[in-house]
Amino acid sequence: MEEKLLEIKDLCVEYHTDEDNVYAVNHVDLTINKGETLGLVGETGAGKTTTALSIMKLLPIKIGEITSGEIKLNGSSIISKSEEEMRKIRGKDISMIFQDPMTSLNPVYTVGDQVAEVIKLHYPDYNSSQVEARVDELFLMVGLPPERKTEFPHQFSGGMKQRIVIAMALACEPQLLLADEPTTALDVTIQAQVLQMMKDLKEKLNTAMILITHDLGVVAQTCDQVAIMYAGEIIENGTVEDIFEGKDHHPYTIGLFGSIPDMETKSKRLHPIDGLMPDPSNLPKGCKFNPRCPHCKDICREQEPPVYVNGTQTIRCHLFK
Amino acid sequence: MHKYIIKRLLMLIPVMLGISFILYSIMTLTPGDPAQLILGPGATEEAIELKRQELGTDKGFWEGYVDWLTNAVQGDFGTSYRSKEPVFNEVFARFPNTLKLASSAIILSVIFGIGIGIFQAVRQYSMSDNIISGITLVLTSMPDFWIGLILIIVFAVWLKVLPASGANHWYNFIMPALTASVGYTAGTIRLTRSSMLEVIRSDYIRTARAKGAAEKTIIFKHALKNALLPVVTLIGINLGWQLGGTIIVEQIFAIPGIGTLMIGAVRSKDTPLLMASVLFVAFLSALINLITDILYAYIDPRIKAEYSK
Ligand SMILES: Nc1ncnc2c1ncn2[C@@H]1O[C@H](COP(=O)(O)OP(=O)(O)O)[C@@H](O)[C@H]1O
Ligand code: SF4
Ligand SMILES: [Mg+2]
Repeated sequence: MEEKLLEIKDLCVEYHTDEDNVYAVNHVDLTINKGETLGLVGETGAGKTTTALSIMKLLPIKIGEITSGEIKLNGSSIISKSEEEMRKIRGKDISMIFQDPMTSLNPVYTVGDQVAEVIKLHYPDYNSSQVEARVDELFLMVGLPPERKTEFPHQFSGGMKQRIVIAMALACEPQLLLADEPTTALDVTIQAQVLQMMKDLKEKLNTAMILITHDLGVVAQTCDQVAIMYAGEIIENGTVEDIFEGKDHHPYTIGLFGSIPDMETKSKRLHPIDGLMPDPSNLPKGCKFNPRCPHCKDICREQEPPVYVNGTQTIRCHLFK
Repeated sequence: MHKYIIKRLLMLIPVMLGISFILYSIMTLTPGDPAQLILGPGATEEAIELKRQELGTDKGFWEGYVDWLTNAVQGDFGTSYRSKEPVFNEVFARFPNTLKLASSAIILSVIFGIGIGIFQAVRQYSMSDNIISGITLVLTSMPDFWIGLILIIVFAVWLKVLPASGANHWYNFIMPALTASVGYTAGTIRLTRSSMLEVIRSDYIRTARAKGAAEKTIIFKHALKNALLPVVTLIGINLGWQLGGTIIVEQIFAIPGIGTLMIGAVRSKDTPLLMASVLFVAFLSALINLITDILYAYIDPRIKAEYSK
């Protein structure tokens, strides 16, 4: 059961802009087992989307660059794959759902055509009636009437559009689904529905998922593993029990949770912490959290903290030895 | 959609009325008597009076306009003061030249404008992108007559491969079409490039990439159709302009088109001829405008939904 699907080792990503280099992802290690869900949590700008785009190798051309590290899917390196090989993986083995469903569908094609496209790309042998049958099946799966496949994106609500995007992402039954804040842009009532549906579908298809979210309640309900990201680093990582019930935590995690809620307290939103995340083009020396940390010691301003390992949990902080 | 088209066509009626009234006012209220102009400076007062009666310019302002309008509504737009021919005979004799010039200029601008625009967008900030941007900037700032003259000097005077004037053969139109198309091409290139760049950055293009679509599919299927929306409008405007007859290009290459016809009509105060040619051109422009809008709705389902309301 505990079979490794995706392994990220020491991933570093930079954006080269006209002004400076943005160190968006720094030495990230992550592992996801088959069928598992990993919650990736952190403030805006922490590098969550960048991490997901790196896995797809869809960083903006010429601007975003993976400067070091390794990403392996089923043991084979993604970093060394050609663009052509990546096209066979995208949409088939790894799918991605983006944050804003209002803009993630092409306005000038019918939603049915857009779902059909991904099927045609990865199952070139399907004839048109097989493709259409599969589209219908997917529409039913995400709770939309298949008759509506001839309509255009503007004829659907945000929640329905996200269902279409999910249908598209799951069309080829991927092994890994990257869901980048899939419900943030939706109404609160719709959020729960869409999330429940995603959870059911991923269990049915045995798809592993990286769920990027702000919502700790969602993490508690949906995830097996949790990784907390700050300034491009994973500062704490562990099982959902480690994070919600463990006794040792990174000061940032504690800040996030306010006081750590137990797993029954649902939908506890990220707690604001005093200060701002450092500018990723100008990161502080030592621990990147030191300007905001209430436990900051001299060593924190000088040396990068080591990774403290405690069973399934890891914490990047000088407080632990 | 049908309702929308009919509404737009009906809206043309007041526009045409307005144009005709303004033209009539300008022609009759500005100094210069067509009868005097035709007969020349030596004509007697009686001869001029007779000529006025013949032309119908002896009537009062309102009577004259109402007469014109009454006939026009019945399809009679009058005869030219000079040639005595029904005005539309002259307009239709000239129009094919303008149409040939306009359509070839616009086709050139569409092919090169869209083609080069896409090429640049795909290679943003590359050497070729920068060079082309520089060239387009220079071309947009060059006046038509200057480009026309350079072409004449190079191809008619030095190389002697193309005729400098006339409209009898298709090759007569090569240089005029090139001259007229330069500005339109440059504009189309710039708009296609910027529109394409904007679309390429959009979320649905990232979605298409995430599906595993090839770059060619992304550019030509997903991006182009969206990026072309503003370009279609520009092409429609350009075509409307060009069908109005570019006076400068027609003059340089001595092409008897609508532009030179209108200039002549203004000079000789040939009111019926000017009104017929301007109304014809205005009607065409409005029609092209409407076709552009229909095309727009055809490309963008959101607009179509708007129109159906
Ligand atoms: N295309 C880009 N060019 C330059 N900087 C970028 C680009 N995309 C993201 N960044 C920067 O990288 C950092 C991480 O961004 P992102 O991965 O989007 O964070 P998150 O998804 O956690 O909010 C941010 O500081 C952001 O400003
Ligand atoms: S390393 Fe120091 S500054 Fe950083 S989180 Fe731990 S205690 Fe705070
Ligand atoms: Mg993000």
